Amino acid sequence: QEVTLTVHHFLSAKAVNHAEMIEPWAERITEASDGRIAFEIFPSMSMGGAPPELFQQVRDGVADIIWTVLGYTPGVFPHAEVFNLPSVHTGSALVTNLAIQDLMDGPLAADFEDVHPLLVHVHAGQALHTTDVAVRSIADVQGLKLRVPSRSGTWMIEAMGAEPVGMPVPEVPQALSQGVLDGAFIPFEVALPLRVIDIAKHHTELAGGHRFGTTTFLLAMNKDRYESLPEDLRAIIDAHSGEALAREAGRVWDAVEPRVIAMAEARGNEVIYLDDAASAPFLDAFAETEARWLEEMAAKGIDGEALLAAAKAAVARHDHERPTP
Amino acid sequence: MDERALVGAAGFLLLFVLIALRIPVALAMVLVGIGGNYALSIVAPFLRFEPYLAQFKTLTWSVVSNYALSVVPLFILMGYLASHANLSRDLFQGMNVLVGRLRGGVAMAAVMACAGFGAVCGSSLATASTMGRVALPELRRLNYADGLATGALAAGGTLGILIPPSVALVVYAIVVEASVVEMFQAAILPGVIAVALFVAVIALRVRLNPALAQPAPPPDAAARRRALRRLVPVLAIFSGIILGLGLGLFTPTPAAAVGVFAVLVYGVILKVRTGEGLGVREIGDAIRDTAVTAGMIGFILFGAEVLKGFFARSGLPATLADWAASGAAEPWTVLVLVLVGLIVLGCFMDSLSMILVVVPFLFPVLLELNGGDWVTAADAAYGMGAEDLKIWFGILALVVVELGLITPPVGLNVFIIRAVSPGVRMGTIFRGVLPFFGVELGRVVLLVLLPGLALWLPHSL
Amino acid sequence: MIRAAALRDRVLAPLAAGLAVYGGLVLFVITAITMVNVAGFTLDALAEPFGGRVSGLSGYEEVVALLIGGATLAFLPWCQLRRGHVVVDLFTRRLPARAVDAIDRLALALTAVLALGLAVSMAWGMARMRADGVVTGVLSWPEWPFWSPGVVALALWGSVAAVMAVAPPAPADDPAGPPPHG
Ligand code: NA
Ligand code: NA
Repeated sequence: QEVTLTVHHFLSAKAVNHAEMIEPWAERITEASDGRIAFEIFPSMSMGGAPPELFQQVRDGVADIIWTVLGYTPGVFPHAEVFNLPSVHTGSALVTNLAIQDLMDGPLAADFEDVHPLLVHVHAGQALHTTDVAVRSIADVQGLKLRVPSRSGTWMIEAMGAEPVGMPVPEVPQALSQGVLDGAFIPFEVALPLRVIDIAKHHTELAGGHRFGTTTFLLAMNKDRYESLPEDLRAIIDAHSGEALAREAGRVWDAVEPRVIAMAEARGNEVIYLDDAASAPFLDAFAETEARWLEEMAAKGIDGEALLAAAKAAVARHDHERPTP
Repeated sequence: MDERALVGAAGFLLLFVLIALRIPVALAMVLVGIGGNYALSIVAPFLRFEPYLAQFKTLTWSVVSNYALSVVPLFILMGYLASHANLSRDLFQGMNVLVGRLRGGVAMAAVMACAGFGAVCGSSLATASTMGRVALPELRRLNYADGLATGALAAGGTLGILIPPSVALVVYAIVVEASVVEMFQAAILPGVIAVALFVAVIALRVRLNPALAQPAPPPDAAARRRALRRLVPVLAIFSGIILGLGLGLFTPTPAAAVGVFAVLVYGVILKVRTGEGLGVREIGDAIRDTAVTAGMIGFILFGAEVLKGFFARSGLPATLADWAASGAAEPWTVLVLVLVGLIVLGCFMDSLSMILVVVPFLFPVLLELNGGDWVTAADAAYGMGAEDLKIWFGILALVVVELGLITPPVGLNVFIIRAVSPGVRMGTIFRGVLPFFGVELGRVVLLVLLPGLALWLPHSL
Repeated sequence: MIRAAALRDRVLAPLAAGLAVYGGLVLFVITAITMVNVAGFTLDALAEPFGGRVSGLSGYEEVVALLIGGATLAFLPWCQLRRGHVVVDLFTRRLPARAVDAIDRLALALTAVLALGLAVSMAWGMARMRADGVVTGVLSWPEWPFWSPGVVALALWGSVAAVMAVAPPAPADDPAGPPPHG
């Protein structure tokens, strides 16, 4: 082969992102380039450092490619964080992924100037997993200690009248079982490997496909490394990334969720689907979260209104591609 | 093995050469890590060296700024506060009032005090040296045989690492991504068994040879009352922390902070009321001692992180795990070899650096031999799932690593006890330690054959 | 040599001890924050049956992580001065004293290079954190100011090691021999 690219990320080699997204993507590129591009994937932060450093590492070329959570470096991606907002993401990873691609060359471009972004994408969305309290209305979450998924997640929890607790996701199961947390906002596909479906007894989802926000991920390549490649190889990488990969990732993530919900129900857990009336106060809290986000954007000199409108419009535009359950 | 894995293996050997040449362990880890990455960039140019160096802009901070690890300096501070407040002495004298009148009872009291103090302090060497200074003068005054006295203390020192809280357990749990609290729970029963076995060894030896220990004259009533009065708060604080952690009432960092607070408040009250306890000077001394130990651990953790980046890039751990998964090795043979290797390493390396250097290699190998991440207990080579394997192997590894501290012909704990017992020959201490070494070996065999000893508590709590 | 020893004892040692005490005070601050937090959780558990809720401190874990980083690095200069780093001396006991001394000085010089290199790297990293505007997840505090004690500590650690390489202090005065952890 001509080039070997290193890929670094923080989950294990068995995680969905590694086994069902990054690995197949790398294989497709290797094949399309007749083996001229090879990949070496380093899972579990094995090249060194902690997850918040991944973005720094790809900028410096410590790894050629990284996969990370934008929220691990809060404040660094002010525009793309719009897709974390619970009022923007409507419950399909595929739909939101495609919406993000529409904005990549527009309002989101500023966030990723220092790298060559290959894919910005989301998971299907946070559900609320609780241990003792079955959440059937917003009254049930008052004062609960809930793990924050992201910075706007902190505001969302505060707006709901609950108490935000920050901790790395691997510590969630222990905190739940010891009562340090009453519940956590995490997606179902993370609840499985973390054994959260064995500890939490109740899982709450909103009506109409609304979610308690989602998490935005970045797959990015070092800029110099990308530009040092011959043009035909760059073209091959780009053809397999961006929108093509957004579809694939959306499909993979959307498909995981029903599997895990079925497993939770098989364990005798209660999966609560709130009706419109019970969901409404949560949506009000989401509106409050959105307002707070807009305030912060204004303080940063970013036109949050325009960005939010563009994000919502893009999500609406792709809504027809939502997978039917 | 390809070229990169060979570079990795060469780095591994070089690490031990540097350590044997008296280069500080942490420094050796960093040197091999950075030098190894340079070598890799020559064999495999896509692993570029200059961008690698950019990692150090953030690596230092990410190693030390870690919530899970914050428990380590806090427990160390608690241990030194307790030590400077003379709680180690109170513990020994209180135990002595309880069991001292039995034949061999003062040595038993020393072993029990070692267990209690080691529980809080978490370092075998510090426990041996502290309790040696507290208990040896008393044992000699009462004409205990040197071999029995020094042997009991050298062996007693090793109890601390297993009884929670333990710094080494925390570090192991973080390395293999196990639950710290489950590790603590798993360590309780094997720790209690060790104390019981050591006490039994003393009882048996003085029964076979009554000349080894004279029964101590009973202390007068006033001294008795005073010792018991001092013992109660110490036991309350120490057992409160151990129970709070074991029952999962506290997570580790809050438990450690509450421990610091409790020892500090008690020590200050003691100072105000009796003049001995924690004053400004003692607190200052405790902080400076904490700085030495916590700084040492911080540097080793940093070295381990640098080393990890080198080994991962070399592909050596993956190569070993693939070999294990290929079915070429017999799982139980490998386990026994691993344990023997750890005992040998334990003779001259401290447990923390050993855990950080070798466990990242060994654990994935054992995991693959066992049948991988998702194996069920019924199909697993060691008869347990991956989560249980983490816990069981961790307990085994810590026990054998500590065993190395009292293994003839070299053992760090024996050297420490020698340093605080002038006039006693090294050979006398090693002969005195031998029976304890024997029951420790027995405990390892027991743990290997009956994993339930470690796994029962975490399963049922 | 004499001036190096004076620099070591009159300037660097007090600075290192001061930083160590700073680190210790940080540990006490963490203890205090934890006590407030634990009190919050405890009151919460007590108040719960009566429908009351008392909150813990939000962002507790974040604050602990930010503080402990600086404290751990602040311990390093004093640790170096007290020769606290683990050394295996079993295999070099038969070597002539001059050889051992040469190895020790080499190790100290390498430590100095490493620590000063890390200080410079970390200062760059801190500047990058500041330029990026990285904040914490719950409290939205900027991260970079918490790095500064670390940068100072690494620089002092490097200086201590460098001066010790030129003028090694006499073995520790503790009659029991080993440093507190052994
Ligand atoms: Na301990
Ligand atoms: Na030994």
